[in-house]
Amino acid sequence: MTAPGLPADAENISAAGFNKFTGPFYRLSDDGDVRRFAFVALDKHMNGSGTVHGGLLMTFADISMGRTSRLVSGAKSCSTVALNCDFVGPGRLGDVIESRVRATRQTRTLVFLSAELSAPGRIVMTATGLWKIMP
Amino acid sequence: MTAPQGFSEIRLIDPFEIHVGPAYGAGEIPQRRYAFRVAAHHCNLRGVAHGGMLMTFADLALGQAVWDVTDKAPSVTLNMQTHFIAPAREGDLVEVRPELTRRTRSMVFMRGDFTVDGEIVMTAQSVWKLLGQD
Amino acid sequence: MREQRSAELVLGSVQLGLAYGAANRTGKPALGTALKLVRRAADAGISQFDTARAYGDSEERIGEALEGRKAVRTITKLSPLSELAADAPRDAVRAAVDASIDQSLAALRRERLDCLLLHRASHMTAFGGAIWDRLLERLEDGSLLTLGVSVQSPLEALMALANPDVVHLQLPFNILDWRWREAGFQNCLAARPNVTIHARSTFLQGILAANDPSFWPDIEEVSADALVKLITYLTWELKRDSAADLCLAYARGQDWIDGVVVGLETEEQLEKNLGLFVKRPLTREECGRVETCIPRLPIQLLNPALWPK
Repeated sequence: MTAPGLPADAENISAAGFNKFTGPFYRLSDDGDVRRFAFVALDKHMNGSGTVHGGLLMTFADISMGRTSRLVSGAKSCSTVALNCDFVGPGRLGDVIESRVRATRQTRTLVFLSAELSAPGRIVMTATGLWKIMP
Repeated sequence: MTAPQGFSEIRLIDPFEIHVGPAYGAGEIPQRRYAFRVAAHHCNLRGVAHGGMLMTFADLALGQAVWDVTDKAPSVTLNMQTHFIAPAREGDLVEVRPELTRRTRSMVFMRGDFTVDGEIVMTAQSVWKLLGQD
Repeated sequence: MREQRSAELVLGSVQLGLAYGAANRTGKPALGTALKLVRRAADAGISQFDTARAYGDSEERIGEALEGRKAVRTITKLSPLSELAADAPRDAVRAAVDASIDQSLAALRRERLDCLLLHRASHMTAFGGAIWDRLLERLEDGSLLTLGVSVQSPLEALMALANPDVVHLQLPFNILDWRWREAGFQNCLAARPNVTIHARSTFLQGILAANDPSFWPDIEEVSADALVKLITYLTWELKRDSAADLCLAYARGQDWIDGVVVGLETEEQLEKNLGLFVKRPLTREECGRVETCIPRLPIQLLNPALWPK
């Protein structure tokens, strides 16, 4: 019997725009100060070699880190200043890809974040980035 | 949708690229340029092109450029760094002329300045590994 | 006719007459059970029953169970005629066709057949057209009310639709099968609004509803594991009760499908399937969601005749 993959209380955070167009993405329960997000790799997320497309992984990192920057700063809106992504291993069709995001530092106007994206049992991508808190 | 002036549509293979596309190319190697037009579904709630779409386009365009300089050798992205300078909005044509920084036997370093009407909106640097070249 | 109401449940009866299906573990039911099943289905409002000369005892069981009932329609299929030699003369072919029709009439306890389908699409042109010619004659004399074809592929369907006497088509369709959504077939169908379409194999020999990758055939390029995960995820995302519910809701969400043939062997399965048919079919948008999630799979998976033994 295959497990459902996503927990029943997963919150759909893909209401509109590019997020919805490429999603759906979900927020899961926090693990201490680590914020967790996930999606299931569907056909539209794949590249021609049978692995999840790097652009989609970066999109997911951007969405999960951006959401986290708003959560930790309390700001209504934050914008991505810089993002650095290292591609470690492949994601495959049907995999649940999870993003675990931590804010490493926060100033009055900036949030520093790091994220680890993984499929069950292996790391797929790591990312660090800088978000600006919008006035 | 017709291609922008001077550009023709690129044939995309990856399901994700087809989903977010189309994308366009112009010119000949090594002067080749790539572009995409920001549509409503590429934007976030503020009517601004989503960072994820710009990064996807960077992956697509720089990846095409790697293909161009290596004669279509298979490769994978190892790393991509992007700096977001200014917003791109719905209707804007985002263009890039990829620049080869360095090429070794097994790796390619490719960068690009992404512009709208000549103004930079994003810069990206990427490292690619050529498969089967260890 | 393509009306706005969604596809109805057509009772498939191959499992009533034969042991059938990759996920079938129980074999053909006893006569008493079979009769009870068919009568219970008719009482529950199912008005169309699908059978075939080749389905063992199925026609007899349906005939006995529904004897005397009005407002039920039975679709049956011509015998595969495998006993005919490739060079059989015209009158041997004619006799074989007549034998099949007459046996069906007797077994179903009817004076005329509501709908007779070719069990093999190739029979439309086989033997120099002798089979089809005889069917047209039996249509003329009133022993058959309508004619159609049971097809395996869009190509066979297109060839059948080119024949104006074909007013019923049965085809395999399920959540993985991208072939039937292509423009060529859909445009052709749109030009023939008087053709009734029944979809069979909605659960692809039961593997789609089973939630277990080990039921799937071993085909290169196909990760059964990944596809089971996708189906499980879509069931959750679209808030359906089960993979079976998702698969049926998807087929019923296709506005070009008039009936879905669902086979069963036990009363429990009948109740379960009846329960699935009162649920809301997928909306067009939800069908679109499904289609962006599932990759374009090889024909070898979509056609069970090509599965490795």
